[in-house]
Amino acid sequence: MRTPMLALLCLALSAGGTAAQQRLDHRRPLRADGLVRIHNLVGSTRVTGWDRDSIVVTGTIEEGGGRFYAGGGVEGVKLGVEGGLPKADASLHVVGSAPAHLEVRVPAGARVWVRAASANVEVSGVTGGIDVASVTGSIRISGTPREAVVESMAGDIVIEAADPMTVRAKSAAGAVSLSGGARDASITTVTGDITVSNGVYERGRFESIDGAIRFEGDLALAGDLEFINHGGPVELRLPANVSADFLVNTFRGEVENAFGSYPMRTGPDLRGELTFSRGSGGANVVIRTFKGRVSLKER
Amino acid sequence: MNAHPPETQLHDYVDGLLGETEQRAVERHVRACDACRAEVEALRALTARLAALPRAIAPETDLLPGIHARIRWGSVDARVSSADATLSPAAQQHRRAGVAGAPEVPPQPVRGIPGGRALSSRFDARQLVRPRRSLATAALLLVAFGAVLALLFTREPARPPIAAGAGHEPGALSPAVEFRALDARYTAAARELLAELESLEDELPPGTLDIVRENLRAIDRALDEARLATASDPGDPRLARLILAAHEKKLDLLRRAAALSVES
Repeated sequence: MRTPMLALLCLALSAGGTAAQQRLDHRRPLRADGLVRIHNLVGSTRVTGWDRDSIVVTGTIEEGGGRFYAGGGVEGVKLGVEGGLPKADASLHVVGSAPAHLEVRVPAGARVWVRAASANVEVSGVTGGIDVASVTGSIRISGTPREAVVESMAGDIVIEAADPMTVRAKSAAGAVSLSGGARDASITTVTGDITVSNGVYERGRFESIDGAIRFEGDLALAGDLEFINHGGPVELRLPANVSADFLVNTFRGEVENAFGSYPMRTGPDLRGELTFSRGSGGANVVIRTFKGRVSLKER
Repeated sequence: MNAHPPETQLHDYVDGLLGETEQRAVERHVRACDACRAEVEALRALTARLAALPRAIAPETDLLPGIHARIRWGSVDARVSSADATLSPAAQQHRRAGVAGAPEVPPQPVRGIPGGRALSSRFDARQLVRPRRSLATAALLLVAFGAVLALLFTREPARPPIAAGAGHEPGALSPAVEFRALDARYTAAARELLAELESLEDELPPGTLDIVRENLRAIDRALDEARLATASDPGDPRLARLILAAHEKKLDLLRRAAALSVES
C-alpha cells in the first residue's frame, strides 16, 4: 500500500509543480435576490454584498488546487473549485488539495450558500439568507442577513449581527459566538463554548453537552430564553434591574445566584430546582444542567 | 449531445443552474434518452417531495410537557403513519440546499494520475458533495425516526394524568420500560447511522469521522451519567428531558456529518 501511495504522491507533487497559480476574475449578471452556491473546500472564501446586480469572483488557486467552475443564469449561480490533486502530509495521509482563495462579491440581497471543509468562510453585507457549513474551517458572518444557518464540525463560528436576526448555529467542537441580538436564536454545540453578548434577545435556545455557555445580552420584554447543558457551566451576566421569571434546574451542579435565592436541594443526587422572579417579570429564563455549574451574575 | 451527460450536469439541469446553451443541449439529450429521462424524473420527484416537507419538525415548546406526561404516566400508541415518518430534519437540509438524490457513481480517475481511483473521490468537490440516494434515504429514515418518537410522545394521554408512582393501564408498558425502550431505539439508530458514515469515510473530508467520534464519546459519557441517575428515579421527566436532548444532539451530529457527503 505504501508504494502505490508514494507513487501517487510523487505524481501528485510533480503534476502540481508544473501548474502555475491560477488567478481568477469572473463576472456575470445576477438578480438582486439571486441564489449563489459556492463550493470551496480548502483555503478561504470571502463573500461580500454590494449594491450591484452582478457577481464578481476574484482570487487565486494555488498550484494543484483544482479548477474553477461557474454556471447558471441571472436567477442563480453555482461556482467553486473542483478536482484538485490530492495532497499528502509527511505520513502520506491525504489532507486535501492545495488551497483556493475566493473573493466573491454578490448583490446584497442574494441568498448565499457556501460549503467548505477546512476553508475559512466570511460573509458580510448580505441581507438575503445565508447558509454556510464547514468541517474544520472557521465561519464568520457579519451584517444583517434575513436568516443565518451556520454549521461546522470543529470550526469556530462568529456571528456579528448589525440588527437582531434569526440565527441557527451548530458546531460540535468549535466555539460559537453571537453578538448583536436576535429575534430567534438557536445555538448548539457538543464540546464547543457558546458566547452570546451585546444586544437584545427575544427568543433563544442555547445547548451544549460539555461546552461553557455564557450569556451577556439583554432580554427582550417578553423574551423567552432556554439554556441546556450537561456538564459545562452556564453563566448569565444580566443587568441588575433585569425583569424576568427564572427557572433553574440542576441535578449535581452548583448554583450561584446574585439575584437572591438558592435552590432547595432534595434527593440523593442533591438535585435542585429554583424558581424566582425579578422586577415585574415578563421575560422567561430557563436553565437546565445535569452537573454543570449555574451562575447568575449582575453586570 | 450524444454521450450521457455526467451526473453533476443532470443535477444542475434539474436545479436550473446550467447556462442557456448547456441547458438546451441537456434537454435535447434527455428528450431522446430513456435512461437519462428516467433519472431526471426521479430527481425531480425527489426534489418535489423534499420541497413539500415542512421547514421544521422541531417540537414546539409544548412538546416536552407531553413527553413528560407520557414518560411518567402513559402508555403510547405506537401506530404512526408512514407519511409522518417522512418529516425529517435531514429532509430540511436537502430542501434547503435544493438537493435531489442520485444513484451511486463509481469513483472517477484523478486527472493526471492514471488508475488513481483510490484517492479520486477525495476532495473532488462536485463528487464529494453529490448525494447518494441510499445515504439520503438512510438519513431521512433515521432522523425521521426521531420525529416518530417525538410524535409518539406528543400524543396526549387518553385520560388525565395520575399521580406519579400510581399504576397504569392494564397491559400498558410502565413508563420506565417505555423510556428504556426509547433510549435503546435512539442508541440503535445512532449506531446504524454511524456505521453508514464509516462506510463512506473515503468520501468525507479528512478528519471528519475523528471529530464525529470524539464528540460522540462526549455525548455518550453524558448519556451514561444521566442513565445512572435515572436508576434512582426512572420516571423523572427532567432527567428524561436531558437524555432526550443528548440523543437528539447525537443524531443531529451524525446527520450533519452525513450531509457532508450527500448535500449539494
